[in-house]
Amino acid sequence: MNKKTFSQIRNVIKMSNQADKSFFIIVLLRSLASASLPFVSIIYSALLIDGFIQGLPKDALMLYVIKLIVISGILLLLRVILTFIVDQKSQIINLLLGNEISKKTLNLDYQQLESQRMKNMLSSADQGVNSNGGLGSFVLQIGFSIQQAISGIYSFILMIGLFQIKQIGNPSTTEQFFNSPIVGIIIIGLIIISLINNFISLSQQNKIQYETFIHNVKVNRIFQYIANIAFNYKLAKDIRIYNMDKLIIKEKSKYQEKYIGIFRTMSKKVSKKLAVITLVNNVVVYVAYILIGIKALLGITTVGAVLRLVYAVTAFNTSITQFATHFNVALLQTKYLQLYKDYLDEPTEMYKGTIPIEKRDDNNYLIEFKNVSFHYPNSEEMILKDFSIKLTIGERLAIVGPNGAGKTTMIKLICRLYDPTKGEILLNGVNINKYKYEEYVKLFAVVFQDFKLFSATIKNNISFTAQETDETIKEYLYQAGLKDMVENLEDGIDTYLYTDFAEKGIEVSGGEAQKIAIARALYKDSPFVILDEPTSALDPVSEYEIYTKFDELVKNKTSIYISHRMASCRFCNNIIVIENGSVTQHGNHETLLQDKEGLYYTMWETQSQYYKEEV
Amino acid sequence: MKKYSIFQNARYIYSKGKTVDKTYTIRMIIMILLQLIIPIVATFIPAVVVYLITSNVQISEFIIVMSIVVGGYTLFTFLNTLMSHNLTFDNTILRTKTFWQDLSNKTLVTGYENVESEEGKQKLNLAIGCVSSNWVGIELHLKRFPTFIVSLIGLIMFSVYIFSINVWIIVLLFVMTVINIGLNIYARKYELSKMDILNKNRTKLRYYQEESNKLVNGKDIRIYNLEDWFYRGIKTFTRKYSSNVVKQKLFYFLPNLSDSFFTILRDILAYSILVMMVINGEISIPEFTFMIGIITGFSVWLQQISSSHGELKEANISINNYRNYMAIDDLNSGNKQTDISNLLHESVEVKFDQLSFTYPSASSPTIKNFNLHIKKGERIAIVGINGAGKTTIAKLLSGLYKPTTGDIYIDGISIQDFDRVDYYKLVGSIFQDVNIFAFTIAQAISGQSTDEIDYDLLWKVVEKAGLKEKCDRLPEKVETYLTQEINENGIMLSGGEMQKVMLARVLYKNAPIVILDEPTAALDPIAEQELYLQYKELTKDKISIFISHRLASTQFCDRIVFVEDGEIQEIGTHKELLKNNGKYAYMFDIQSQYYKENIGEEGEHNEQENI
Repeated sequence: MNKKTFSQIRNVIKMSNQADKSFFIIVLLRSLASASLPFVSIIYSALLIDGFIQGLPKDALMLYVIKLIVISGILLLLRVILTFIVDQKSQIINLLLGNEISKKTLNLDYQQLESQRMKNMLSSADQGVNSNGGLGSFVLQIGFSIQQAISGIYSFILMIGLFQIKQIGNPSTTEQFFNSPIVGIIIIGLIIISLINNFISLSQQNKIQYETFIHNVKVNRIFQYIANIAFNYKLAKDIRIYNMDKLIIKEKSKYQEKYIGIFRTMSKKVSKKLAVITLVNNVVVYVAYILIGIKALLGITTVGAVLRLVYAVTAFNTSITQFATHFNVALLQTKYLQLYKDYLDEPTEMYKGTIPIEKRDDNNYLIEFKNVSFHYPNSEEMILKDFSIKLTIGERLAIVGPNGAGKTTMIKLICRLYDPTKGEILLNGVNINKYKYEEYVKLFAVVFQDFKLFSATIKNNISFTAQETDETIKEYLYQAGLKDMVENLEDGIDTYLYTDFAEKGIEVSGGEAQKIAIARALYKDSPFVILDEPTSALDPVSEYEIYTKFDELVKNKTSIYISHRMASCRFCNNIIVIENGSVTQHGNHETLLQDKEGLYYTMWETQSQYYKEEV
Repeated sequence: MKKYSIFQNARYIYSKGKTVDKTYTIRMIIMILLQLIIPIVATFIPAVVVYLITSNVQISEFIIVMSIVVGGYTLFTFLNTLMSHNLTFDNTILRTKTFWQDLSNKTLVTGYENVESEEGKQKLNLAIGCVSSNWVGIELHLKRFPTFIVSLIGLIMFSVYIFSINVWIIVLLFVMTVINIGLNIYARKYELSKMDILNKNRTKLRYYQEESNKLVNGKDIRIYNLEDWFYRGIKTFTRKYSSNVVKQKLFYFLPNLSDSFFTILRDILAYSILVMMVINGEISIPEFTFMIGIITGFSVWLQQISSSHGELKEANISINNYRNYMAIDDLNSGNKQTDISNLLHESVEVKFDQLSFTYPSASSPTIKNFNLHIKKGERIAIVGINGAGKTTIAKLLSGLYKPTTGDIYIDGISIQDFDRVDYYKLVGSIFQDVNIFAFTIAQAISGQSTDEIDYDLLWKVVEKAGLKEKCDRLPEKVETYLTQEINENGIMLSGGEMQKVMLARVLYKNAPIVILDEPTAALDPIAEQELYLQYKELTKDKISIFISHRLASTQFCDRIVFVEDGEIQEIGTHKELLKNNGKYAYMFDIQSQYYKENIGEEGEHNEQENI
């Protein structure tokens, strides 16, 4: 145990105080009450027994009884009340940490969020808070170890009685031996041996458990993965049609056997160690009974003292061991909670800029990619290579290209979800990272390919602050082609999406969801509207509606349109073709078609051949 | 829903104890006995010490008696520690190896509607909740049932003994017990009545917490500034949940409070009576020590009973959910034992006869009076707007749903006559959503374990699907794992490549009925074109159904079925339907107009008239 461990523990206690000021102190008070209780009864019981033997008068005996009952009564009530408070607080405190994690994630840069490192940190922090009992359990463990420490101190004080020497006239050798500190020294010596044994066993046990855990992390993860395949209804079709059940069961059993095998070995080892600890502890108790009992038989000490001293010996031995165990668990938990702290302390990397965005009623914003190259942090493969384009105001730009060409990546760069690896992106001539980030993102309304709607009312999905009137919101929904749907809903735009928050919540189809996402983007009223494959889930009629209304939808805004439907290029006055991360063609539909060698022509021809008058 | 008592469930659970090993039950019983004896001996020892010393025995006699008593105690505790730790582990094995395994095995094969319907999902989730950790359902029961039995027997034994000392003490303890149980039941009732709202608030809070941590939401949250919405949700539901918890704990605080008052009363009564008895010489000092120990021990049993009973009750709800899920009819057996082997490798014909289908939770049918005769080797395209019922038809033909009324005949045999698991063998499909299983490429394509795979066939289909080049380049070839879930050297395939795996899967299965449900939605034009070309090869000598919003694909089909609101509106070849100038023609027109050389004003007007 070094300085660092203590500062870690202090940190975690600080963490607890930040989340809930009184939790830790209440746990401490409870420890005090719980530790004191058994000693009160053992001390007074011993006094009573000695009193009986000495033939004390009834009043004196009853005074012991009254003291016993009053003191333990107060402690008992105190413990019950404190436990009530501790119980609720320990259940709630972990939630509070979970909240902090979520808040932190919301504030991460997107590229951090997507990095494997942060994903791992997030899942470790989450596990640190939830799977291992978290902060609540840590404080409880600290409470237990303090309880044991107090109990250890009580018993140590009682054990001083071991060294009490009675004045005996003419002692025999036996009496001399038992009336000397040697008895005390033997017992203390045994306690030390037993404690050493306990500590060695416990640390070995921890080691075994830790090694098993490390050894098993992978097997466990794989086992969980395969076991959960069965419970994922989305996979149910594939499993049934392709008769995959036998394969899954077989693979699962394979890993399960491994898993059980590893744990069985561990369990056998650990249980032996635990049993040996019990054995050694009992030997100490046995020796204490014999030695102190003989003292009493010799009249050197009283019967009550025997009970009291043996209790003290037992209590001392167990409380020191228990102290170590609980403290160890708490220490282990500090490691997990450290993961939580690490996550919260992780700085955000992206430069957030300072220049305010100039408010322009004419939406006169110009975005330019200047020799931009980009690769994702976790791979060396360049997604965009020396990429340059200009997006002028009021322009309809279509981006086409094969799957994986870098189209979506380009959008992510425009929105500053990522910063370019090389080159720069300019807004009105200034590098976009110089602008205030919060203001900058307001310029863009994007419907991503994998857009998400949330479990809230339709209204709140369009506007999460819901400051606008219902009529305004409806207007946007109608524009996106949802008039029929909204009008058919009993609660209109106050209907919840999904069933997380309302039993009457509705499941929307992929097409309807896409339209809601489009309405949300329009509502944002940003000068740039970006649609990434917005019609892939739509049937031809809805697709047509979106196409024909596109002009009206985006008005005088700059729009970028990514689609595999080549038809969508027809209403864009500017088309770029991206292949392998570079712009290979640039122009309008007619000019691009003239280049018969170009990809645009090939793509257009393959798709349109089926729609020409005669096939 | 069937409800079983704690004891009925104990029988159910322990009857499967053999799966751990033969000695499981015997060990459990020995442990229960040990746990009964240990506290009695522990109370007995101090009394023996007091007795021996007060009666001034010889030192040697003292040593012998103490050796026997403490030696016995040591042996018991030693055995108990050894056994209970191993049993705790065996409980985990019993849960995972038997109960979890059974659950997942059932879920893998049970009727599709049992896992896909909202009701089914809910039931499954509840059942999973019974086996998902050490502290719920089955394993909680396994942990607490022995404690409950031990404390119950202990309580009875101690009561009898205390009764022999003094009636008033036992009356008091009895009242304490009754009030404790009463208040606990009351608290439990309160908890149950508020459980719903507590869970709801917890789920809602969890929704906000989890959604804010999800990568997939990251882009939209940042672009649409949704952070505040999440903060607000987190705050609101933390507050609500916390106040629920405090109230709930308050109700459990009451029995504890009552217990401590009674403990004080008990002490007053017990000590004053027993001390008087000693003074009056009615009992000896060792008896006093033993009796005080037993009276105090009574409360320990009571506490254990009350807490283990509470937990058993909690476990019971969960176990009942589990048993109810396990009792769900799998709906897999057919009306007749029909042999499918004759149908497997031949071309078949399919007849939809007055087929109607209503989803269990829906009020109106999704498919209505659907009649269609698909001849041997025929390719059918099904088109229509979103929500017309196209996917439902595909699922019905796949055998994933059972018709509500009407029937589907395969070569004249009703689909209901087949065993469902057998029937699946007749169908190969590609669905809109591509699901990746983290197995090897070979396993993902064949759906079989490595020793069962027909590798000649596998390589043939890999080549046909256009994956050979890719596989040849991989060091582990087709044994390469997909994704890194299972194997660190696993690879990620692109969307187009995954599509090819899906295709290879159909080719490997070589089933007489092929169903493709919007397989091209996410493909670029060139990949889309490739798939169209493979489609012919794929469906040679088979019956096939192609569902797509890209009407271009329909031209590869022999007949096109236009579906609206679950009913067939038009049927015929592409040319026929265009000539018909109906709904299909309209749909084709609006999709094709942008592909025509000139986007003419007249064109648009024409279509408007067609609506």
